Amino acid sequence: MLADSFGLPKGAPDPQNTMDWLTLLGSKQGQDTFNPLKGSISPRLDSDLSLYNAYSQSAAKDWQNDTIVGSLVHGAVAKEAFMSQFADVMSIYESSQNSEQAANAAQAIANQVGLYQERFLWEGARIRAPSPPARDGARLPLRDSTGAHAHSDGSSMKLTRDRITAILMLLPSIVLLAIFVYGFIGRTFYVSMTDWGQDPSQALALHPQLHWLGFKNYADLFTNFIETRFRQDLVNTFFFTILFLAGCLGLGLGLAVLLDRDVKGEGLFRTIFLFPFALAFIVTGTIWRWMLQPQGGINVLPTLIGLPRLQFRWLTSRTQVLRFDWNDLPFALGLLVAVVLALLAWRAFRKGRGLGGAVIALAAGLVGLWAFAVGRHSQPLPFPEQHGFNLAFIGIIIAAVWQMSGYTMALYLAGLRGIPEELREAARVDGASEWQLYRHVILPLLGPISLSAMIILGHISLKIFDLVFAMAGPDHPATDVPALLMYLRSFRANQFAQGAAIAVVLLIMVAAVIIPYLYTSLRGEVRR
Amino acid sequence: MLLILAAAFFLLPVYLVLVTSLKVPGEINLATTWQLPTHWNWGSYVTAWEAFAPKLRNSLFLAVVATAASAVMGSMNGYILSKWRFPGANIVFPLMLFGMFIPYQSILIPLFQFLRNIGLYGSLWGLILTHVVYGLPITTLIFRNFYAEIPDEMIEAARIDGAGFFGIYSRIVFPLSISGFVVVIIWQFTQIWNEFLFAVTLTRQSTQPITVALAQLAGGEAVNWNLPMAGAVLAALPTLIIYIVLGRYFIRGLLAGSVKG
Repeated sequence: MLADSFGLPKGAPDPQNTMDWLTLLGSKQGQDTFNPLKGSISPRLDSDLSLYNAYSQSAAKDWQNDTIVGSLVHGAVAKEAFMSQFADVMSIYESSQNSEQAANAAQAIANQVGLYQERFLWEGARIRAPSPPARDGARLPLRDSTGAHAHSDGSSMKLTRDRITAILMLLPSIVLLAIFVYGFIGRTFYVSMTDWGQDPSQALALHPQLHWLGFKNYADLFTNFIETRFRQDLVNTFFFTILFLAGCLGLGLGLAVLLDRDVKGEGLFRTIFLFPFALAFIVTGTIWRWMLQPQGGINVLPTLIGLPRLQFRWLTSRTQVLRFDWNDLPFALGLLVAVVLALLAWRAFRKGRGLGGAVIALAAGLVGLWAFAVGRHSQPLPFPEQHGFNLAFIGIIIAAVWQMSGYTMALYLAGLRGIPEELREAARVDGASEWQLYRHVILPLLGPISLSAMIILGHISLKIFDLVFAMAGPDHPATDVPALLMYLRSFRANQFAQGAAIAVVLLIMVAAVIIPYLYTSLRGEVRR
Repeated sequence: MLLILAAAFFLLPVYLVLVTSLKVPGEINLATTWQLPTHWNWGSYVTAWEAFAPKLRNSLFLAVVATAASAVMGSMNGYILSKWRFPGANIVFPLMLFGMFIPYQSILIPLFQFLRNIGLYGSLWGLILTHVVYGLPITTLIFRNFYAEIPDEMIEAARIDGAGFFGIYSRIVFPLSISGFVVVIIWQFTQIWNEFLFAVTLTRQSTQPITVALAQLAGGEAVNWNLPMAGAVLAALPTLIIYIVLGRYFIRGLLAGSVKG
């Protein structure tokens, strides 16, 4: 079946006239009058083929015999020069509405520049087109966003006037983002290599005089005993991210599964679970700061049902658990990387990719060797420095999960709704229990959603700033994170170079998560 | 049952906020935190409104102007990137997108310096400029994915009929993108209204948006809790109303936040 559709704009001045015109066009008389002039074939089986030229007759026979015929986009064979001048004619016509004048002008252009591109000129009875794009019938498998236009085989990639306009219209955004994102990141990187802030007289100068220090600020962050707060911030971010992700994914998935079972009032529950997402982190933080007051809020909740009140000092606790020595990190990280690589190598071997496996195994061996030979004896700091998970973060994590788990729920719910009912039915028929159904059928299908949720939430958690600011104040070491420390250093202490170094570390962490994500999701788009 | 328990977890803070904000300051003590007020006192809202009205006005102006500008630019960018692809677009687009994920700390110092140099530091216009620029990636992304649904044949047909770059946009693409605009406007408005980092570093007392004012009020030590709670309600209301009334579009924007759309 072949279908062609015409849109009738809302509020068109004379819809009946349009309909009559289309009906006339579609009739046998209309088709057989119009098509021979235009050079098309009629989709009607009752057309009088003797009215058409030889090529059209042959094409019409193919068409009637259901042979698939390659075809071209309207206008694809026309000359670029014709098309651009024709566009001018049409825009004049749009305002003048003088059809006779437009027709004459179009004819004049055709006579003057020629209608068809040379390579499309008639040759025998067939058009010699370079691999006719199969535009009609099957759509190209490429999605619209791939950069591969069906007819972009050179001719329309030429810079027409419209194409130049398009690039000019995009240019402001590109320039703005080039400066504000990449230019500024470059500048931040430069600032992090200087001493900006060490000389108080230069700190707030409009054009401060800076001296080059190289990577000293970075070395300080990781190995100078003064910067212990920054290292604890990194540890804080690590634990915060793990627990925040676990909470959001666990709660979000649980809620989505519960809601997926056609419960009554689903819309209401969904609204309730998702509304915190619409709030500002500052609002959430203010509310939860009050909830977590040591003498009140959550802590007195148990007394309502006759239990003793809790004594936990949510935001001000000084207790630290899971402590470790910063000096052990090189060894531990080296070992971790080696183990991960070894696992990857094992997987490669099992899948029969021996060469790749051998390379990875070699890398694993080298990293492991490094960990034992160098990492174990390396001492970034002159003496042991204990870091661990600050319990004061628990309350902040609860508030963050309260705010963001609805988002995860929405993602999972969209995923669950996409799983066809037949799949569940099939599993049930095979005797799977509800638990087995979720464990072996549904959860694996939600894997990609979990991954993108982890990436989105993970980068939010690395950047977390407002929530901590509102809940525990900006300058509270027990609940500090790099994003806050950067703010304090730069805008409270005017130590811009140190602040910039922290910002660059933060950027590297976020980029490590986001760049692979952008790369794979945009590449996946091209493949689709 | 589990659902009701979960709903209680999500609604508990709301209950506490409302109850606290409606108590007279003397009645707020930690032991009776969860009890209903004995006298309903709307005074906190009056006080909070008086204190916050100028900040709310700042936030409103900021969010409306920045949202409008970034939506219009995003729509144009999305139109170009989905319908007028050019060589290199596959490189330009991811580079643009990256801008929405970066921690803004990594551009804050040069931005601060830049705004001081052009004399916009501390003004709402500086903040508006900032939000427009850093809003471009997400608005471009949402519109690009939205316009990808418009068949290329339609664009092609309009071109044959003589429509040019702007003609196609104003006659075909724009009229079809009303719901795209709703999604983008809701998303941007909410984001900008709720934003804090730029607001706290780039404004002065008189140009503070509501988030900064609320953080300062609640962060002060000697404050009665009824006031911050009433303030939190005022700060939350606009985005909450949008969420409740236009939830469908809100969720679409939220799902569009993950790149594939």
